[in-house]
Amino acid sequence: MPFRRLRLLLMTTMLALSIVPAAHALSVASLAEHLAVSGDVSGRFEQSRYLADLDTRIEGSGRYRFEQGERVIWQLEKPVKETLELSEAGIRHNGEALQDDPAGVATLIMQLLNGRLAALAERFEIDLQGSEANWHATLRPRQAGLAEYLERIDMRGGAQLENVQMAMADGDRLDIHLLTDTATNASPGT
Amino acid sequence: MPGTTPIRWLALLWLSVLLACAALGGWQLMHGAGFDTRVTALLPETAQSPRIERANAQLAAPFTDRFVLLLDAPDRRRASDALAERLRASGAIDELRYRPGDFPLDSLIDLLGPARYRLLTPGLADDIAAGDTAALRQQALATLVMPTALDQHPLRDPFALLDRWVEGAFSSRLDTSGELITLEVDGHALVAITGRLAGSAWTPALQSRLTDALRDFEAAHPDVQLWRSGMVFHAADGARQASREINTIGLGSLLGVLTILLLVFRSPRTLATLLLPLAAGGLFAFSLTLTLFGSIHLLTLAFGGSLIGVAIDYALHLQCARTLGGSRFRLASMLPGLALGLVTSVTAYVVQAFTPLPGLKQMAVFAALGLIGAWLSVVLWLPLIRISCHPGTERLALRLWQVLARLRGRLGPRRAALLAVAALVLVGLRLESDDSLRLINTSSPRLIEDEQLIQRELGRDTGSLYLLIDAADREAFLERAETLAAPLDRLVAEGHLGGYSSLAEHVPSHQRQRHNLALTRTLYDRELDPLLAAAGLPAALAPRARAELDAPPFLDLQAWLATSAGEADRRLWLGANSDASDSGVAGMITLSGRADAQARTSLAELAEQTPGVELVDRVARISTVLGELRRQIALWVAGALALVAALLTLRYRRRSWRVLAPAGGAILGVLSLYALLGVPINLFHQLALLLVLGIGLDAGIFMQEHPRAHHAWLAITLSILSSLLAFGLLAFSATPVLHYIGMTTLIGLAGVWLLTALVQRRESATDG
Repeated sequence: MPFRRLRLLLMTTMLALSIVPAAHALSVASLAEHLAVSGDVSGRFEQSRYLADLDTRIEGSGRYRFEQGERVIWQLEKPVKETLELSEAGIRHNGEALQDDPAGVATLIMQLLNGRLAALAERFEIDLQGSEANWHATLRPRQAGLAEYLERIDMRGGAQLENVQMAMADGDRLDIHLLTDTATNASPGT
Repeated sequence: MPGTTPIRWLALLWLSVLLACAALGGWQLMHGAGFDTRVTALLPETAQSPRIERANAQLAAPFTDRFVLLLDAPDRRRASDALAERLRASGAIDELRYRPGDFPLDSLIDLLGPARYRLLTPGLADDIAAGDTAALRQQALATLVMPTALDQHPLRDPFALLDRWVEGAFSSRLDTSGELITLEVDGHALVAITGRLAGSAWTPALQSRLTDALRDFEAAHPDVQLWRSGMVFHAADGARQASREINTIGLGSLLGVLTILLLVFRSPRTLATLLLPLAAGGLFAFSLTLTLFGSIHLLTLAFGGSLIGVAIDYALHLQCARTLGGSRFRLASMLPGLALGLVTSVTAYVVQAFTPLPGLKQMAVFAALGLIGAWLSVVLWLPLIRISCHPGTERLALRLWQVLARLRGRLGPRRAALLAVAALVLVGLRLESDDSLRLINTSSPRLIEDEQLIQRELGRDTGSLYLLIDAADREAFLERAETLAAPLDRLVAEGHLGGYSSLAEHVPSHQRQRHNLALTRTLYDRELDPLLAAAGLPAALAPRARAELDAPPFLDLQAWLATSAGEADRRLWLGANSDASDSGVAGMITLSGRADAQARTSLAELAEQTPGVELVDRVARISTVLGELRRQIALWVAGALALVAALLTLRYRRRSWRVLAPAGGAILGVLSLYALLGVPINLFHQLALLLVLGIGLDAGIFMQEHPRAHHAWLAITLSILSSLLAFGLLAFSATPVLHYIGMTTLIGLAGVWLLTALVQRRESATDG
């Protein structure tokens, strides 16, 4: 089911871009190049889901951690503890392997993280604007099936990715704000 | 020559009949009649309900109309695109899917969303019933914050029931997250490509377009590995091998026979007169069989070609007699032997027409017509054609006669009877039989391996083992299917069964949907308020969320099957039974993967105990029918033989045993040999024995009709030698069916020749 794949894809896309140190020249190719730069990054995130029809928000926060080329950990702390871990071996949810989730997803993610942005560009039209210090990427799904559900993803940042905003087709939004512990070689998440 | 005028008229009449046949055959071929390569066309139109026939056809359709390829390459994207381009250009397919976007997608939200409160996977339903709901709330909370579940919404679906249903009921091993659809096999992701054929899998033109495209692709991309699954590949494999062998073996034997005949008669004209009846018989049989059956099976032609051995008998006997007899030759003296030869052979073949095997019926009709056509041509045409005599022929006949003189009389009636009894005992005690479907499997081992791998990994089945479920209406059907889930799950869990597909997995019965809704209410009562509070949502939302549960619609089977998501399930549903008196419905649960003996026993018991459920095992069924057929043919032929024996006794009295001994002895000899070597006898061995019977009877009859004639023995020897050439080569065929036929005739015909000589009365001198 494409929906399930979508959520993992989106999540890890953000994570992938969150480690972009700086975009020298604003092109997908140069962004991709930076994605290949190694180094562990970790930090806090805050997110807010806006429900258009109820005009209300659901807030959440937690920690993320990316071990270059090996592992991605997305740890929700509030309002509930949830850990999602992606690696070459597959996807683990709260420490348990997700049964029906084929490792192919993890493989794709690892490719993304290792700078193979071409794969992402296959599914999204990527539009980059601004400067290194203040850039803005807009991703629009190419597949009609995804577009029905997801309108666009906006990413903004400078030295780091700072904001991700997903706009759903029905007017709902998801805003994620990322804070990095240290600029380079962050210590493991605590 | 006196008395030839009526013959001339008859000869002309026969010529006009044949010309009409040629026109008829040509017209048929031009208007769509053609060749059939389906191995299954040989199988009986089983005497089972049309409902099972419909179920069989419907279940097999995805396997026959579609194919699956797995692809591995260093650059999978480029390789897949290149393959797709070649396949599309071949014109053999009309649809190809290997990228996620290639699948048409109905919105599952629109389709299943309204009924989601009634759709709970068995695991979820158990958890709620057991009061195990805290974890459900935690997970719901997480996905509410991070909207990763399908259409989870505080009002519509706070517990993400739709997402859970979709994940639980539609888990697939196919990975659609990337740009290609992949399947992980042994830790390695392979591209999964499915195609739909533009026509029938049995069409030779389509088969070659598809296999050529794949072969060209593999040649152009040596670093790409392909695995195949689908009936079209098996059909192509079988047809290619059979036609190649029929061509090479057929051609080889024809050349061999021509060379021998030319050496013996030293006259191209005599050779032509020997072949003329074959051509006439072939034309007669071909056009009439085509008219009667609409198409001709490739194996009928192979078997028909093998009849050359019997058909050429008549021409050989006549021409040998004319060559050696010269002016002393009279057709009248030959007629009784020729007529008996025809009657006995045709009797032996025509019996097969009474069996319910369509392929066998066709072969029997083809054989009988071919023999009659050849016989008429021999009797009506050959005497009108002048013949040249060569002294070499006489010298050869004399030398053969000397061989016969050394052999004859060595087997008296008493010793023959003793040997026959010993052989019968041996056959009765030791001979085994084999009726498995493997006999007609013509696929290469590599293709079979590919097929097994793909079927195992994809849970794809060929619809050969299934449970047929009858019920009064759709609701009763689904309830019945639900009661079968538990025992089937147990068989799968214990490793006896690979898996199963049931409609009830995707559409619960209304009864279960009502029960599920009650469970959903329990879940809401227990967990909704804490969930909203934890998410920081206003408590006022709770009553509005509960209101959604008031009267949700049911998910209906018909509606589900009509969607593109339910497309794959359509094969499992037969719908209303066609007979008007019975308004019930029917559907199937297919069983896939390996099913061991324990599974089959349990399934049979399950079907016995559950009313309206029937276990259909097509493979076992076909084996049973093959075995039944083998016994039936044996019985019919034994009957025919008794009839022929009685007929022969009228003419030959106490010499009858000498007429029957070559055929009967050779058959017993073959069977004893198989019994000793432990070769299990099958249907095709038996078909070949019919051939031995025909030639053996001819030999016996002619030796008794013309006991002192060198020409009879020369004709018999030549006839057997030419047939041996034709079939000795078939024994080397890799197509199992042809191999069995070849092996059996090889041994049998050698036996016929030897026995014909051995049982003749001992004579002191040769008096021509």
